Amino acid sequence: MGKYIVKRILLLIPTVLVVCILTFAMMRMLPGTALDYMVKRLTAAGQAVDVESLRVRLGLDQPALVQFFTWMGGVLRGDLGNSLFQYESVGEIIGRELPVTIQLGFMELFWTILFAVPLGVWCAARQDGVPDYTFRVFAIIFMAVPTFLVASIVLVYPAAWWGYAPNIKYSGIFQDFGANMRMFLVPSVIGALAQTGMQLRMVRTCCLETMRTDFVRTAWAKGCGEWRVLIKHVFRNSMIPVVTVIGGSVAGIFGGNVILENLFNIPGIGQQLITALDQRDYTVIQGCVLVMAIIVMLINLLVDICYKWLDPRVEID
Amino acid sequence: MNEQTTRRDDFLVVRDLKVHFPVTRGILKRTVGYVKAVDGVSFTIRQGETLGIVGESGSGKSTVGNGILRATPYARGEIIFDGVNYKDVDKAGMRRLRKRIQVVMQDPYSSLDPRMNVRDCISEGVRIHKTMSKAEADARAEELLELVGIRRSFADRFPHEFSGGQRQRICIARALAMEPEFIICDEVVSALDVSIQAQVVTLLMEMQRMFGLTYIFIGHDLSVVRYISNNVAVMYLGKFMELTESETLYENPLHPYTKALISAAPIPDPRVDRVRERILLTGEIPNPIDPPAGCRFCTRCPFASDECRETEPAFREVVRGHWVACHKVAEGGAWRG
Amino acid sequence: MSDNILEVRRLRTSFFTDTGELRAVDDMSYSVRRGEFCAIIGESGSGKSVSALSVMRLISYPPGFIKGGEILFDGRDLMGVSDKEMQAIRGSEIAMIFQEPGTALNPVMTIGAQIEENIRLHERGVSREETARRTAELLELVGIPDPETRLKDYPHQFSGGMKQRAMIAMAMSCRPKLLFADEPTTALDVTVQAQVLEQLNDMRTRFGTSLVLITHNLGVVARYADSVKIMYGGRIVESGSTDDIFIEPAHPYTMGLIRAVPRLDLPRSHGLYTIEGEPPDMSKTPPDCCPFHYRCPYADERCGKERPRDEEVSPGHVCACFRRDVAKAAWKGADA
Repeated sequence: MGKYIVKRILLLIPTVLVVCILTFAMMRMLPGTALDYMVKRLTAAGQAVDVESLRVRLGLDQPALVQFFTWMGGVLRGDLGNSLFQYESVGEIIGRELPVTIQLGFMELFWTILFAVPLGVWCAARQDGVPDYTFRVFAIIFMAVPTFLVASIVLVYPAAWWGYAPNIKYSGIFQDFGANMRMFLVPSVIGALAQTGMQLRMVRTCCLETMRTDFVRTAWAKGCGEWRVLIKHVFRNSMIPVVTVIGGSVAGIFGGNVILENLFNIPGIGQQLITALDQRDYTVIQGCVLVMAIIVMLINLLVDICYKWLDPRVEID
Repeated sequence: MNEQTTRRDDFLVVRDLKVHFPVTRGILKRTVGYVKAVDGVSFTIRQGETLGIVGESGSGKSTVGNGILRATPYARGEIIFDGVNYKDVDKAGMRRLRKRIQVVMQDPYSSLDPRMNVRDCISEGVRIHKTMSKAEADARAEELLELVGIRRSFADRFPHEFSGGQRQRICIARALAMEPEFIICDEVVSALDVSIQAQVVTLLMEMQRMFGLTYIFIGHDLSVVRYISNNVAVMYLGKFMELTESETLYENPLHPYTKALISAAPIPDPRVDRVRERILLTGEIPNPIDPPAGCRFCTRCPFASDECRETEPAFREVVRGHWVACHKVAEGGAWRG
Repeated sequence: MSDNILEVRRLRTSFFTDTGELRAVDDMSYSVRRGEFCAIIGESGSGKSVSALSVMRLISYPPGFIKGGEILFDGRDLMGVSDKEMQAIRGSEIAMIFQEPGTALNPVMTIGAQIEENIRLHERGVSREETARRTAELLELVGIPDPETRLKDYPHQFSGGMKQRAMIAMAMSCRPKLLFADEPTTALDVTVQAQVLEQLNDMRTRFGTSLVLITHNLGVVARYADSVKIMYGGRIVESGSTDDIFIEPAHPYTMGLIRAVPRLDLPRSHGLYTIEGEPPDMSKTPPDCCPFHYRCPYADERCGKERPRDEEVSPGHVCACFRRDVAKAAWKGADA
């Protein structure tokens, strides 16, 4: 097992390299450069700009290949470079803001699993019953309504009717847990809705499929009661495809958070990314994408390990 | 059988056919061994006759068929079809040759395109080879449908509207549409109910008489295989254990494996079944990646001795027309235990 | 105590589908004596598996429904017991083995855990060590070498034959009074088939269990079965002792089945009899007819209009056919 994990992590290296090259290349291919943006901003502010010296200061006078290798060299030493616009290193920015995004993502995942799995199993066990229909209808609604719409509604109406607004002042989870939760609870639940809808249907389908298998019939024939059949025989077997899908959705969860972070003023990496993209802050974007890619890949590895643990037939070595 | 000279009426001669599938491992696809699915099989079939190949799963019986069809790139050995040696034909020649050989497979559910009506299923091959017009091909398809016992009016229906037995008939009609001379029947009746099995076997035999077809009939049910075949080869782990005329198979089986297969084959008559000799084998067929040394059957053979575990017995003709690979069978067919 | 461990009377099980009611089991009555090896023979769609699942009360609604009948097991009417009581009976007093050993075992549980589960479900207060010991013993009994190690294996580490042996061990773990084996050897190789059948018969005699073997292959039962029931179109068309059925068959379907199997022990010229046509679609066949009349060479007008009743041919040999005499004469003629 240990050997397998080491092997998998080594196999990440070429993938990470490809991610680096692609992000770097795509940033340079976008119309407009960081220099253009900076010049525009400075001129708008009425300052005289020496374009050439600014170019040299930003390191953009070098050929793209040289820029790439300079950056890669830094990455290999663990230095992601400095932001072109903020007086901070990319490492500092990510260190401060990524945990916020990860917290939001994991809270969403938590709600998703907490609701989707048991409700999905219940729906399957009572197929075509009233709760089954109800939850399926809600699942479709959750999946169909875009997150930003739900978020806007939640922000606008309670404020208009009851004068309630969610906490928008960030405090770290370890500094003030209560305040932190008051801030994260609403957005994480909203973010989890679509996922919950999707996973609930997935869990339900997988369970129904498992319930029709021969070994479940064997379990009934042995004299297992309904709960025992569901938990010991149906559940674990149904989770094998579900885990794959949940693992695959993690990247989507992080992507979707950009909007929520914006609307709820959560100082996560998503907001940072939007700003950075706008400004063509190359180093920040490259750094963020790199770190997030690594996180997503590690989660995939975790899913594969879960897979092995769930299904003894999987040979991972 | 290698030394045997080719007789004039030998329709298919197969000499030392080997199909070794490489086993690869790792991302570099390193070859770490071979599955010797077929490991040196020789036989001849005369025109209009049927050779039955019987064996359990993993014996390589279906791979023999694929080897003859050249459906696998790993086949080695000499194959002479109707006087034409495979190695003397170019690609186009091979295509022409392939048209004369058809296959009917076990699973009539997956071998018919579910989105095509049966008329098109049957005439598809003919249309691809452009030997006749669409109208002609369709007319022929309907004729064949009737021939295999399905009403012409059903030609517009789709495969899922037919039962398993009917679908197998459609597959037979599709094979016949190419006007083949040789058909490989691979487990054609294994998935069918007893009463339907008899219908399909009877149909195959009728078609053979009608068109002078030559068959290889592959199966695991000795009774069915023997019934349809002139000669039966018993296969185990990639090799023939015994090859003889169907009539002598039950009367005088020589190889212990054949005897075991016979005793395991059900006979629907309690008066016969309760009193006949029984050889119950222990264990199951070994992994073909790592076949036992010596005789392949030695791990399950109740009569195996050290000789069997050390040297592989030659496949030899002990009585005229009766071939066997067993150390315990003497020249002339006597058992020397 | 009655002589019969199981008496099924006028059992009717239907499935309600889009195309209408499918009468899978249509007025079926039979009994199994204590310790008997009884074979139920029928082709796919004859209702043979459904009849066993009905006795186990494992027909799930929807779409299946046991419409009526009595199932007397060891003197108790199973149709009247509660779900809880039925659960206690399943796996302990009545056990079942299925066709596909490959899929009938839970792939994520060890073989040992699955057998132990069966024991612990029905015997409270048996210690973990005791169940493990008994499980190993059972595996040994069904011919699995090195049982202490093998019980920690998962099903995919077992070959097909071994899985079916493990299924037998599981089914026999509480010494059931009645065992249904639904096509237990169909998915296996011939030589393994013979082993498993022998094993099953051995376990039956060892534990005094009554065995109902359900199969489409009448050849496999000739050696072992005490009695044979032939099923067609959801009912039993003929039943009797093994010799009655194979030597003196009375129903044209039985005769056809026997002669549709190629005989290894006869010269190839013996010919193969074919039953024309296809098995009936039970959602389209009217209840008031002989379901075999579509394919029967001796059928007359009455066969399509009226349902033949069971008649005793000889003591213990029952057949439901109007045209018995004609069929018998033809059978005798073919034999001569």
